[in-house]
Formats: sequence, C-alpha cells, structure tokens
Amino acid sequence: MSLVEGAQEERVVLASPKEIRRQIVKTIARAKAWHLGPNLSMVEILHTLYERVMRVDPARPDWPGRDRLISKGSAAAVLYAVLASRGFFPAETLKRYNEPGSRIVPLVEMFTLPGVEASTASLGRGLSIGIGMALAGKRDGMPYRVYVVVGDGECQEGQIWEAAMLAPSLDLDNLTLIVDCNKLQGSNRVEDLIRMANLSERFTDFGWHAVDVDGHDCDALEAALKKPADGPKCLIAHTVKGKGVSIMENDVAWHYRSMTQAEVIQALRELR
Amino acid sequence: MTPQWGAAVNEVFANFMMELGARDRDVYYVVSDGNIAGMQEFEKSYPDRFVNVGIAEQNAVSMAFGICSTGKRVFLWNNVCFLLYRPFDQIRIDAAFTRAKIRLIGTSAGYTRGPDIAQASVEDVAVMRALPNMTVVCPGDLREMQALLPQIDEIDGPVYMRLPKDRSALPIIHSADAQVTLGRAIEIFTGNDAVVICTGHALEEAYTWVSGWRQDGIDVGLISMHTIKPFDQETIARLVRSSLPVVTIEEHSTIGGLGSAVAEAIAESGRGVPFLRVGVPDRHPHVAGDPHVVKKHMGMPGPEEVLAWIQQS
Repeated sequence: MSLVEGAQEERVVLASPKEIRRQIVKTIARAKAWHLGPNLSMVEILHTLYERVMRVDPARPDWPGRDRLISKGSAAAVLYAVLASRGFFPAETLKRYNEPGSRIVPLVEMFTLPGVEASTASLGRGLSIGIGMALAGKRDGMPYRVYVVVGDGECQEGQIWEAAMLAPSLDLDNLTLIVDCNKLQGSNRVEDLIRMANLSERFTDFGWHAVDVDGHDCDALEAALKKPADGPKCLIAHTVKGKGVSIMENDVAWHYRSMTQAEVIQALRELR
Repeated sequence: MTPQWGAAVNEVFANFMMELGARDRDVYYVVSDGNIAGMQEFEKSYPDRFVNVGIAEQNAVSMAFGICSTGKRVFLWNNVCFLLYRPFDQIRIDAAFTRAKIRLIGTSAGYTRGPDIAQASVEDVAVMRALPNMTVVCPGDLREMQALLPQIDEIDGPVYMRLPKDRSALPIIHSADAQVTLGRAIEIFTGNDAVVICTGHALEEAYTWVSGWRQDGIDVGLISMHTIKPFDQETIARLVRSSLPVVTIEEHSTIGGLGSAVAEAIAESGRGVPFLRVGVPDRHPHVAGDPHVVKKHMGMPGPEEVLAWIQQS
C-alpha cells in the first residue's frame, strides 16, 4: 500500500534514555529555563514511541501516512531531544532552545521545529486535537495511529473529559492516550489538590481500554502500546517527576526552578 | 421603506453545505448539539463528514484543528454565544495561531436570540478581530450571505461569520446582480448630508431609517460594511475626504466592533469628521424581550435621535 511507503522498516536506534536526560539538562541549563521535572518524567514514554512504535519519516515530517504524536505542552526539551535523536533535525539545533531571537520557544509549539504537530502548552486541548486527527484518518481509510501524551495534573482540565467521553463514542481504535502520571503539578502534589488516584478506573468507566504501566520501563510501555484494542486505549504511565536526577526526583519545586551551576554539574554527573 | 424578506439563515447555510458536500470530500460539518435545521440532511447524505460532539464547545474547536491538519476544512455551526465564548482559548490557538481552515459560523448574534447573559453576544466582533489570521464577516442580507459563504471558504485560514437568529428570514437589500466582494464595502446610497455605515443584521434597520430620511429629502448615504477584517480602510478614507458626518450602526458593543474600526480608520486618516457610534453601551441589559425592547432599555439611539444628530452636525 502506497500509504505506508515511507515507513522505516529497519530498526531505529535512538540515544538512550540516559543520554536523552543529559541532553534535557544541557538544553535547559544553557537556556536558563525550567520545567525540568515534567521533561525528565516522560523520557521513556517518548523514547519508546519514537524508537519502537511510531512510523514516521524524519525526511518528510508532513508525510500524510505518518503516525502522529500530540505531546505534553510543558515538556518541550524532551520532545525536541527525541525528535533530534530520531533525525528530524540536527542536535546542534537544540542549542538555540529559548535563545533570544530563535524560533524555538521553551514550550511545545507548532512552527518551531519539524515533527511538532500541535501547540499544547495551554493545557487540556491535546486529546481533542488527537481525536480530530484520528477521526479524519479513520474515515479516510488511512492506517496511521495517533498518540497523545498529557500530564496527570493536566487531567484536571475539563476539556480532557469532554474528549474522554467522545473518543469511545466515535470508536477511535487508532487513538492512544498516555498519561504521564508523575503525581506532581506546578504548585503541589496532585493528590493533595484533587483526589484522582484511580485514573485508569475513570478512563475505563468512560469506555477506554485503560491499563496502568510503569512509565520508565520501555519494554512494558512497548507491550502496552502494541497490544491491540477495539477502541481507544489509555496508558496510565506511572512515572517519577524529575526522574534520573536525585535532587529533582519527586520534588515539586523542579516544575519551575532553574538550576545553579553546581546543580547542573551534579545532574550531569548522575546521568553519566 | 422596509425591505423584502427572503430565505432564512439556516436554509441558506444548509443549501450551501449540501451543495459543497456534494462536490468536495474535504469538507466537514461539526456541531455541538443544538437543533439546527439543515444539519440532519447533511448528516444523512455525508455521514462520514459530519460530527456532533455533544455539548462540548471546547472539544469541538480543538478537534476541528485536528481534522484540518489532515487537509480538510471544517465548518463549525453554533449560536455565537456558545461558538466563541467558552472556547476562546481554543479558537485563539487551534484556529488563529495554526491558521487552520476552520469556518466559525455563528448565528443568533447580538440580541437576536435573547438579551440574557447566556445568549446575548455583543462582544464577539471585538475579540475575533483582535486575533491574527482571523477573517471576520457579518453579512447583512440574503445576497451578502449567499455571496460571502463561498468566498470565505476560499480563505487559507480561519474565518468567523456573524449571522442573526438561524430561523429568521434574511432581508433582501441588494439587487440580484450586486457585486459582493469580501473585504470591500458596498455603497447602497450616496449621500451629501451624512453617511451611515452599518454591519451585519443592523443593515435592515439602517436601510429602513436611511430610506425614510431620503424620502423626506435628507440626503444620507448608506454603506454596508459586511467585512470587518480585513477592514476596507480605503472607503473610510474616501468618506473622510468628503468631510461628511459619519454614523456607524451595529448590534454590538460600541467597544471594539464596527464603530471602533471606523473610528480607528478616521483617526489614522489624519483628518476629523463629526462621528457618532450607534451600538450597545458598556453595560449589561436586565430585561426580557426582542432586540427592539432591549435596545430601548439600553438607551440606544433610535432614528429620531440619529437624525437630530445628523441635522445639527
């Protein structure tokens, strides 16, 4: 079928999750930016998607048959690091992240870099966008799949539940939602604000094929992502915010904090 | 002189969509509930290009972007109050920023559905024209709506079309051969005493007022500014050169709509003319009734007050 003609058949090998984390720390340190916690928690999710699951062609980011990822808006550094590793643009480009005058703003936004499908930093919209892409693809008989990554805190947005109700009603078996469930949000522990520990049950009740999975286990993620389902799938990927850097793990402060020089050195040493 | 009445808003739109659906597979029709006459026919004929997302306006707009990203155009139909206000952030990002070919078709503009805070929409033009990439059109009669629908669908970006209540008949102001071109004002009457500029469904009222004055020998011109963005600056510059008093009439807040757009154009011309904005003052109504009742309640000037202003200008 001509639609799958640009899919890469050979095994793709991306930089390792640890290397991606080093890149995230370097990118954010150079830019004097923040959002370390939400970037570090979803490394394995994006790594697994782009290395083992998604059919994309970096030479043709607009290829109509490509699988699509609508990625979590607060985590631009990890998305851009993975896209660079997958060959969408040279890693050198990451040096211009948040550089004054460059196009690369530090939040996930269209028109910044090839491979970015939507602007998701205004939270809660990604799943709806994914539904539109999945619906049009299904009705056009296109074989692509749509993946949407949102945060667990983001699931406090009402629009997520508008979309969660609609996707099973449209029988979108080409849509997968992955919740980066890192248990922390900007101000607090998620559970201390909104009681939502049973996310997978909630999505199941809404008609999704929902499973809990270790969000740092690439094999488990791969198996869950590739498991067939006759409707929309939801992975509650349990992760650690700030994963890989001891001072950042499970610490709410690292949603907004920038690193000192000493912290950069420590983080890079731990990620060696 | 009152105009003749033609087809209703929803009939014109339904005919357009059925005809478009028959020849173009890349067109989607998306609604968020509502009982919209004409949509059932489209859904029956083209079920794979129709979506009713339920009462979820935010979801509708973001989903429309997702559909557009695959090379489609999406017509979103709803009452203005529901179409634009809840999902403004979604429109700002998923329509305006992305330049998606989303056609926001809003009915029941102004007070045509009701003056209550849930259904009134008198700030919509102000917010929509502030969005980069957004085209804003307000057809005032049957010909304008019929002519502008295919023109907005040619636009490589998002569009907002503002319409009165969906089941209401549209007046027939322009002759059948009138040229209606997006972005270009239509001069209905040329006048030497003053000029009235109106937009959207205020055209019927403005036409009735101006026709009456003209019969009484008061030589007032009338311009239909059916496109608010891109705005026809040239027409305003030409009016300013004539130094005639200018009156704007709209069923919209005096802040940010036609009146503001004309005031900006006059100010930027570097010359001044006597200028009166007829529109909704900066407060909320607390009254039941049709638009005439509401406008009276709000203290909006009627034909006598406007004429008196013209005569003393």
